[in-house]
Amino acid sequence: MSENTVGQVVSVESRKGTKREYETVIILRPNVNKTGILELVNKMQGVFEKYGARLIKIENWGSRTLAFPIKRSPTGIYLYWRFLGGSDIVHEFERNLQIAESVLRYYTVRVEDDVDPDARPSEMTEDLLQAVAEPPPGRSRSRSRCARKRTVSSPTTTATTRRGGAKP
Amino acid sequence: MSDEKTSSRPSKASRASLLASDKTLVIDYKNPQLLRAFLTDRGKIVPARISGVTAKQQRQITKAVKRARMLALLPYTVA
Repeated sequence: MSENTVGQVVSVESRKGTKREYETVIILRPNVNKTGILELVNKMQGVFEKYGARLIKIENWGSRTLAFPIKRSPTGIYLYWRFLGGSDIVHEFERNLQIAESVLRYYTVRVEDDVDPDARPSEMTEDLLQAVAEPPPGRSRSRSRCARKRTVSSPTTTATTRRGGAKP
Repeated sequence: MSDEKTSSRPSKASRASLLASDKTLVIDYKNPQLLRAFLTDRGKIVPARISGVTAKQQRQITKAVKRARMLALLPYTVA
């Protein structure tokens, strides 16, 4: 990609000066520690800066039991990223994720087109960045496993009862 | 014969989906607890004629389930 299109949306369909909003879910190996996560985040922030993209937020969903093993790992740490960028950011971001050994799997979804960059400020602060390395307090691994094993008999059961852990 | 078939079909009320009862629910691949309601015990996607969702919702559910499977939030199959 030529120098002047870095960070731009290169598409005749898109309005000029706009960016695209993407979200990526990354599954990390369960043995990755706090520093490992922070290292990955710092490295990716460098990628975002280089490509004129903006990291809106990162969430740590904690360690979860996978529905099936990935690379022989039965569990994984989920990281949710939301960012704004041009046409080239996803390719570069995913290329870097492929190189990172701690990553089991990643999946990127385009959330919105034609986003005015000023309308989406970054929510990242130093505190939030530190919180990314810590799993969320309310989620335990055993509960997700319990929810996984529960059979669904009727489509009329509400999602709220499931989330609450009460048996229907 | 045809009478029997009609009587065995669930009534319209019993087929009403939870999406119809709660308008605030959003079909999203990041909410596997909700999507689980549209899977069989074997992990297959329930047809719209059984679950009672609209055609549009069924398309959204199908896409969301396939995305969730990719991220190991939902199983491809249950043995």
